[in-house]
Amino acid sequence: MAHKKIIPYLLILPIVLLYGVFIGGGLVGIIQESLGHIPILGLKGFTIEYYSTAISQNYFLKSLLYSIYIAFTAAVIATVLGVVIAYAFVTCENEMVQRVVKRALQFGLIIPYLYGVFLAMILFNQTGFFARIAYSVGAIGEPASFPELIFDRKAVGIIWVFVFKGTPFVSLFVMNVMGRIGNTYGDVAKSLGSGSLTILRKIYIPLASNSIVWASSIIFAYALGSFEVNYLLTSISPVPLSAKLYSLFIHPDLTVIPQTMALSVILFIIGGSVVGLYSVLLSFLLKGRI
Amino acid sequence: MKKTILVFISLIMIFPMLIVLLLSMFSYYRFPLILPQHFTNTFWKTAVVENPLFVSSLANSIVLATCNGICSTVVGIMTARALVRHEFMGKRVVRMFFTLPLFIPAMALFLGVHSVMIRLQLMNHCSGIILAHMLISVPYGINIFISFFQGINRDMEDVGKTLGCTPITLFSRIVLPLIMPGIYLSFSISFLISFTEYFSTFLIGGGNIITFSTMMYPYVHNGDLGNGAVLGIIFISINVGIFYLTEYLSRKKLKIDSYLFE
Amino acid sequence: MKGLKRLSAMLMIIFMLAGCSTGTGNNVEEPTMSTWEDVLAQGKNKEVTILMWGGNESINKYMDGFVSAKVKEKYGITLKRVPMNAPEFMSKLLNEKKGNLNPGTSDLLWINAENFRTAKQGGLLWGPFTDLLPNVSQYYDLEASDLHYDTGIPIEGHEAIWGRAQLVLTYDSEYVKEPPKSFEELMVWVKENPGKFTYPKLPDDFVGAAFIRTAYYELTGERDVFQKDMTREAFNELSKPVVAYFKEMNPYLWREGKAFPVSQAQQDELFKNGEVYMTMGFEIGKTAGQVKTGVYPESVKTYVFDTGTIGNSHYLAVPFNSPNKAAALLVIDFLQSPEAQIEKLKPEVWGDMPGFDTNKLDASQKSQLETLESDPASISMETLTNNRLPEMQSQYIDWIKEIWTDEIGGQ
Repeated sequence: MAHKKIIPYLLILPIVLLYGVFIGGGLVGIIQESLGHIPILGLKGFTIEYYSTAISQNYFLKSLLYSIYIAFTAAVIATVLGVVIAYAFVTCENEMVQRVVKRALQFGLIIPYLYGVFLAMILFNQTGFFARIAYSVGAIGEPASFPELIFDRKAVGIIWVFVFKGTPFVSLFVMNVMGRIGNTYGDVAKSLGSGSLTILRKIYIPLASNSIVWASSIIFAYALGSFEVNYLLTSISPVPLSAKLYSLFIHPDLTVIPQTMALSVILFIIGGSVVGLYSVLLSFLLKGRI
Repeated sequence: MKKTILVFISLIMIFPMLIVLLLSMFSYYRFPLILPQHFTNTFWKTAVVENPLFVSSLANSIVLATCNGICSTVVGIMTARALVRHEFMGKRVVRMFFTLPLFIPAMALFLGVHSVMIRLQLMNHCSGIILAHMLISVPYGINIFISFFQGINRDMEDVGKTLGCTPITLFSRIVLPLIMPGIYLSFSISFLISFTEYFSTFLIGGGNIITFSTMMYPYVHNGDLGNGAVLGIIFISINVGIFYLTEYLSRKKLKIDSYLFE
Repeated sequence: MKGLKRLSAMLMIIFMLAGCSTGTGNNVEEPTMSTWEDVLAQGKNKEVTILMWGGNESINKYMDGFVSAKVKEKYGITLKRVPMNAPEFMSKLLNEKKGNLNPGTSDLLWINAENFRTAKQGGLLWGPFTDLLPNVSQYYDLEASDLHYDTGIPIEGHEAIWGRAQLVLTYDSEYVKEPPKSFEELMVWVKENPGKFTYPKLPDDFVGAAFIRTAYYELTGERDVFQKDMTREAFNELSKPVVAYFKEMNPYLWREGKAFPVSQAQQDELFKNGEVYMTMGFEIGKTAGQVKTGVYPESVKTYVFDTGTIGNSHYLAVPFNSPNKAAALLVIDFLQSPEAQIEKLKPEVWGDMPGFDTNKLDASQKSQLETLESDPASISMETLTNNRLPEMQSQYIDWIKEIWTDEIGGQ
């Protein structure tokens, strides 16, 4: 029966290859270049000076913190909204409403991020839709007095896109799990006199916590490292780390390459760790305290 | 109360699209007009008919997304099957790390992937793009199939075995029909991810393979409202179509589904 | 079994589809091209992929329509235009060089200045080839300095001139009665009209960078130093009045200078919406063309500062790994021909100044040119030449981008 033992290894072979070659190999590739070994440019030998250059740039810490701020805010808002919607959905007894809501959420899920950026431009610009409404009701006298919601330092526009895209993701995902929890627990709790907030906190969230943590961490990671939203809606300063990385990547000066790669290794490792930390904290919060 | 919130949320999700629809058909939108004026079909003409990239980019997108959908689903089934039904060395590691690509910041992940692609001469090739897209869609597939395999009553497979099914018949006759809804779901999610992905497509395709997303990017970058609106509407309609299609197909299978999950 | 068969059929399809990529795996032997006849013999009926900035719909139309049809008709060449910003195709080529990818996937580049320097340094260009081009020797002034130097970098046959452009400003005379004619006047105007002026963001936008370079000439009062070598320290010293000027201007800009349009095209959209009152660009005839096609109202006009604006030349180059170099040369030669250049000059087409020497044209070409110049909508060539500032050394272009990012935009 030796061949039976091989089966699981054959089954996991594709994914091990895929991850090993592209994630593992990719990390090795960028580490090598970040250490300054790029024979085609005549750069040989290894040095860590590019890391110190990358870190000592005055934008580095600012950009990193800014990116974490964006990711954290977006992930928290999307998670809270998503969970509340999912809960309202599974406990709502109107099938008609459920159907409409599910469609709307699916719709939000399939809109590409790129298009989210486009919507943000149409809606939140100082001459955007909301500014026009504010003008027509007399709330503002001219476009410039409408608050800056995109290309702004608080990154409202960027966060909005991630929330707009993240909320349906979280809620659809969590909804599935909550739907399976069934109403039995809820009915018991209700008969014992618990309010719906307590039921959500004491029953639904702990039971769905794994999925919530998973979905929320994905939003967090995406907001931290995605290119198009950060790049297209950023303010001039501070600039999210991923947008900065792209500017470096297309920099016309070839000697900047090792520094670019060093920054990308840093984003890989620090970013990955921050996401890990976020999910550990979140799962501690959901399982331990509430 | 709950109903009001839910309906309100739905409206928030849908309403930006209405403005977009108007923007694709009316050309004059100077501040402070709330709704655009002057009906025109120029945007549809320039973005669709006169755009030499329209057909080819759409075809590329559909081919890439279909391939990614199929590949990711197959890999997802294989991995999930191993994780749920088999014991092997390193199982804990695979279980812990199969979501890894989703947790690494995308820019860093793809710059690394890109450097591998260069070495393997997969740059500027469709296969390179598909592999890159698989990295971010396979985790979803695995996740879906883990829950499907866990949902299948093990007794059912054992009955098959005692009746003398070969593993292949067992899989194709019993397991496959049971996970069919999962296949549709995994396919549509992977399709969607590939279809909407911009950065990795652009990076690894090197501008040589133009998909719908990479074709649309300059319009968004330049803030070109009219043409951007048209392309976005087409983009979203295709995705909605795919979603409906797979949902319709999997609903036909729901009869099995209903006794699957108790 | 049925399921398995289906599965294997699916896999088959995948592998077939995955083969859809256009690159060919085999190394093509490098053909020799010593005469134009060789080029003609090798270049016909091929496909040429041109990587070029795609932010201007008029230029895109010119390439996809007129040029594409003509090269098809003349040489049977299929022209494929890929919209891509210069820095992006530079990094693409560099990566292909790293991966030793030859033949590559692109045949022509639209390039100049700092990107040309990088490309030449990195060995990303094929050449020299300009001696082969018949239209250059027939219609171009071979002594012209921009046929030998691009922003101070020796060209050495690695790029062929395509056109000449100059930074022009555009305003709506309905909102701006008296457009500012110099940076000095601009400051006054901006302060009187807060929030109504901006420029595209550096370092990624070409036009924004040229606008700041123009300011260097007026604000430092220098002219020739920018073509000569200078240390970074000296340049920083020289930059002080410019930095001070733009810092002073920042709070009065659109979004109080906390945000800038990410591209020239986005600024055009802001201008169209009336969010800002001025825009700028390198296509001299573009505004006139937009007025003609009804995108802008009649009141929109183009002008240049009395103190001058930067003018520069732009070029076509062939990447080192182009699979169809001969065909690329045929396209370049066509683009340089008086026919294509005069079409390109039309305001409603592109409005880009030709590279040829007017004196070398024949009578009918000359008369075509004169009709075009008499068009009241376009800005006169004479005004432009009189107010044309020379381009800087490409190193300074990079330094200015850095200075802007560190001290002006980043604050």
